[in-house]
Amino acid sequence: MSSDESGERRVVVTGMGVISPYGRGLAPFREALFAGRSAVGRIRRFSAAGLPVDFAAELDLAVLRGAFPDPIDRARDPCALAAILAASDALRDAGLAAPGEARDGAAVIVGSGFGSQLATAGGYADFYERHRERAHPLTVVRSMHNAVSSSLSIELGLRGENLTIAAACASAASAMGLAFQRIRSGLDDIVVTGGSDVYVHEAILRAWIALRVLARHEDPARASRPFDRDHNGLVLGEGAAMLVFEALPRARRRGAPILAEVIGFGATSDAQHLTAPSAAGQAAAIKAALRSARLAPTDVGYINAHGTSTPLNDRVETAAIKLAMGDVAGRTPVSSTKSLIGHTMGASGALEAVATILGLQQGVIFGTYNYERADPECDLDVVPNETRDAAVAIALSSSFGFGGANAVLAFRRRNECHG
Amino acid sequence: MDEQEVLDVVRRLVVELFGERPELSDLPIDTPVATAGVDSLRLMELLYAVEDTFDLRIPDEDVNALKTIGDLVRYVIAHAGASGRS
Repeated sequence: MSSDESGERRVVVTGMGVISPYGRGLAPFREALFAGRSAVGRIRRFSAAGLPVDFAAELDLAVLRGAFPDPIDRARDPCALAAILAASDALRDAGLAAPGEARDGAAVIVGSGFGSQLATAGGYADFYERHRERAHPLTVVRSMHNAVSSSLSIELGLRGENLTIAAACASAASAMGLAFQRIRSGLDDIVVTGGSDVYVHEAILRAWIALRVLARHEDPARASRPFDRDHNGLVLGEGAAMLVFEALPRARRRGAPILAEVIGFGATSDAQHLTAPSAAGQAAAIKAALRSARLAPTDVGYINAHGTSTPLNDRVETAAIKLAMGDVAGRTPVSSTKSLIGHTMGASGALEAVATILGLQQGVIFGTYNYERADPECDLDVVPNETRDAAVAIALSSSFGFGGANAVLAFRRRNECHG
Repeated sequence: MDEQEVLDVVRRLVVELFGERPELSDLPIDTPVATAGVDSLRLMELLYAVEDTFDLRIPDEDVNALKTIGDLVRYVIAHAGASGRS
């Protein structure tokens, strides 16, 4: 069936592209997750020596810019550059490398928590640090928040609506949720969606240090340890991931590869606190995703958790999973991609959706690394420290953002999509 | 600086900003750069670089008259101070 009993259209993922600290492409990302290789290391972009935290999972800006031979393109903010590369790879993966009727009408709905922060910071540095009386003439258009989605539209010739969604760490998940709903309801046929965040800058690092939520550890690779008893904060990470969402009938007509099905989305607000998460709010989002996908908790074979590695997040998320999943909470495998790539902020929902789909495709669950001793308040089935074989049919991917934004997506394995 | 020296510097700025483009490097100096794809936004970048390099300020009212590489070179020669650097 190409639509379900309610007449809603089914939505499938037909392409994925990733720019991660491991490099460009799905293969290095998949291999690193499979092997459990951490992307976290000492910061190279600027000297962080002497700061209480001097590590992150950074993208290499030289490599990123090097992918754009034309200086006009290269001058964009790195957040937009990463998004363009990931989206271009996702379209190629979807069999839509060349402009044409099949892709030109695509909408672009992408998330970014920070937007074009490096360009913004550069503009301020010109003024405050270098005391330049004149700003660079492209400061406005490089640093506007929607530079991310508009760059994709312009560079790739995508003429549907373009939107940049800002919902802090839930940005990409919210963007993908909106993309899913718009295709399901018939508003769009194809959407390039996902998220991008490239923001590791000394002033921003100092701001995170001041918030007292960053992980401290002598070994950067072991600092992100979601659900572990010694978790003590999150690790900043960067990246971009883009996915092509398409209406199933259309994907079938053009013989597109079908990587997975998007079957549900739920989003809520805590309406409570700027930073402290709420189990009730998160659980409500998980339940809403289950309702949207017409699933019972027992149908869920895996949860890719938000799992930031802050004690508060991990414990509240554990409580939320219990509230939403009931009796099966302790038997549902959970893992956090952030244990390896850190917290990629507004891109995290997209990178983690890709990790979830790669796992569904390969019949595995990527583990939670640095998980040595369970935090007793995180008593879930936290898949520890290695890739586990598991023929999961249905998975959830959760993202919870500062400001109390909760967004949860449900995915179904490809070979379950043929109904 | 004489006209040729200024021209060389402006051409170098064009390459730095917009890359090696035959349509720009082969462009006659009195043909508008817009015909080679330097739109108004890109022209703002070029003017900014020219201002910086030759230590001058181009007021808004002069911008509309600057459409070609030749316009820029003549403007620099007429307005650049002794501190012009390249």
